[in-house]
Amino acid sequence: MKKRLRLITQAIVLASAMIPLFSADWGLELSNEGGIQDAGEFSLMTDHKETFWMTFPFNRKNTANLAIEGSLYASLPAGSEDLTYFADLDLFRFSAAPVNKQGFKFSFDAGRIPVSDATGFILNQKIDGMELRFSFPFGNIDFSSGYTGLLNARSSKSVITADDGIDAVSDDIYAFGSKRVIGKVIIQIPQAIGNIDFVAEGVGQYDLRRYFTSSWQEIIDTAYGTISLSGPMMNKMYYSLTGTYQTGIQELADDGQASENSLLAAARLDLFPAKGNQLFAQFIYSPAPNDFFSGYIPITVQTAGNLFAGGYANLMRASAGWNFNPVKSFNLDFGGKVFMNSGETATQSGTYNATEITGGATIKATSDLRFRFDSSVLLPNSQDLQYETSLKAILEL
Amino acid sequence: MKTKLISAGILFALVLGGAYALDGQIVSVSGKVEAQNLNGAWIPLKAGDTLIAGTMISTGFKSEATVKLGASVLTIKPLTRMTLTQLLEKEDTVDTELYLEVGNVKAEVNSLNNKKNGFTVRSPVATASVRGTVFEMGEELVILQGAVVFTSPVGQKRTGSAGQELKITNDSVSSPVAALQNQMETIILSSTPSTEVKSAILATSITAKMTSTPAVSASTPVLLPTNATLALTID
Repeated sequence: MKKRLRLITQAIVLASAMIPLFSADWGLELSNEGGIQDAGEFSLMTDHKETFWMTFPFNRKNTANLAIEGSLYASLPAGSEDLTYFADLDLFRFSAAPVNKQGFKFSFDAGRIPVSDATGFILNQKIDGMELRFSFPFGNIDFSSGYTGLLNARSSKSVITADDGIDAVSDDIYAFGSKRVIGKVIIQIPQAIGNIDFVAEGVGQYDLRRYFTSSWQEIIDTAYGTISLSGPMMNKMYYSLTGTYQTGIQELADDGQASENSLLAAARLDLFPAKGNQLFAQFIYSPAPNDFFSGYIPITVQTAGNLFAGGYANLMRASAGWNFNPVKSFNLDFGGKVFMNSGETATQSGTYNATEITGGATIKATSDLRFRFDSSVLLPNSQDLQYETSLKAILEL
Repeated sequence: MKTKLISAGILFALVLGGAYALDGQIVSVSGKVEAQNLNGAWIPLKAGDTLIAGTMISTGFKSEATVKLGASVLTIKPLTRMTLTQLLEKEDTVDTELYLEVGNVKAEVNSLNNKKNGFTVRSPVATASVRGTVFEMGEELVILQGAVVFTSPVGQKRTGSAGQELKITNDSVSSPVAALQNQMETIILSSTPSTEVKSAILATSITAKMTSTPAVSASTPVLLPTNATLALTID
């Protein structure tokens, strides 16, 4: 027992001694936002986040390091009278690149890490797991897998079923997120055919709630296959075409099983006509529920607009925007989105749903202080106009 | 005697292979432009000076040099340090190779005696190789004319054409649109470690979402699926 204690003590002393050898880096970021929203009724909203982070390199070349990031959140969401607050460990990531030579590179992250799929329409959140990255002369391959059940329920973002929703709105600030394993593999081949870049991706999630409790109402397991092609149309104009097929199974505690098939197709054009100018247009389609298709369900819950609260299921969205950066310290962006249903719903006739117009400005006042102004107007088909405007200040220390 | 025989053998092999070392020539100089001699000392360069393979050249602040390498013209931009590692005329080709340690060079690659050009610029992070073109290379590659093959340290290749710019990101060659996106110099709101894009695929792909992974927003700590298959009934 004494020997084991001595070994542990020696290991801690050795690890502590290594830290000052390779200068640890740290920072503090304060983010404060205030705004107004009128989505049926007028309300104020505030949002505060304090983030502290540290990185510890383990060697002079910084090919292995540990990054830790934690935040305190406090906010008064629009329409709410109660302050929502919680603390969270945003990142606990060990990174290393053990092989980096001509013809092959291997690097990995392990711990609590952010993951995203190649499209951003399926997965965009943090997990507890690992990501393996391989680079070869022909292209790149990423693998990642992880678990979401140890995340704070208020920031887990993997909200798919009714049970997940109930956990996420729990009053318990230490409630855990949905008990789900997530896996992802992406293969990217630059200029696979002529100038066309090729990306193939497989993503899946499996609900472990069935093993933790017998009181679940609904369980959904899904898998997604994506093919993406992109390349130049002209020197300053580029396209991308993406198609995702979703398949899955929904299990209801009292009503058997149902399939969860859907797809999401996206086409995008980017044009850079002059320095500091970017114009883009995008069209997204996912089918309406019918005998074969159910609804598109991403792993990471997200809305298709800013004020528009709907997701990507049963959606045709045409959008366009202009990003204008006249100087390094001042950026402007404008956008418009038209939302249509792919098919009529039980509650709404016709396919037109809403139009949303957004405008924003970012100002870099000093190297450590930035301001972001956002404004959105939503014109729904059968409701009154809604709007939201906010100002955010971000200070780095 | 043995050394003489080996030297003669090498010379004979070069002649048989039809390879001849060429000299470069300084065309113009402005500001402080120096070359390192065999003793390691830095000597100022002037128009008309000859450069041999192995010469290291350095330019100072607001200084520039134009060098003729065969029929090609190289402009060495300010604050650059580079070495002319090879300048060889072969039977069918003229091979020129530079090592760009730091800074920026512009190369106008022309054909000498109607021979093909093998013109390569290596840097610590990438290699650009061309056949008949005009390009600039520093931290990123700007192709002004023709086509350039840009190679990452891992060996990934991407051919860029006139008007395109390529860059090495996460040890991979980014797509031209990702490089253009990068040139927009959009102000980054948050730069904590969790916003860092570490995947070469996400950093270099046109299809990946152009923004880094967003930090969790407290204003929307919980997003519920509005179009989920089951209507949520939450008290």
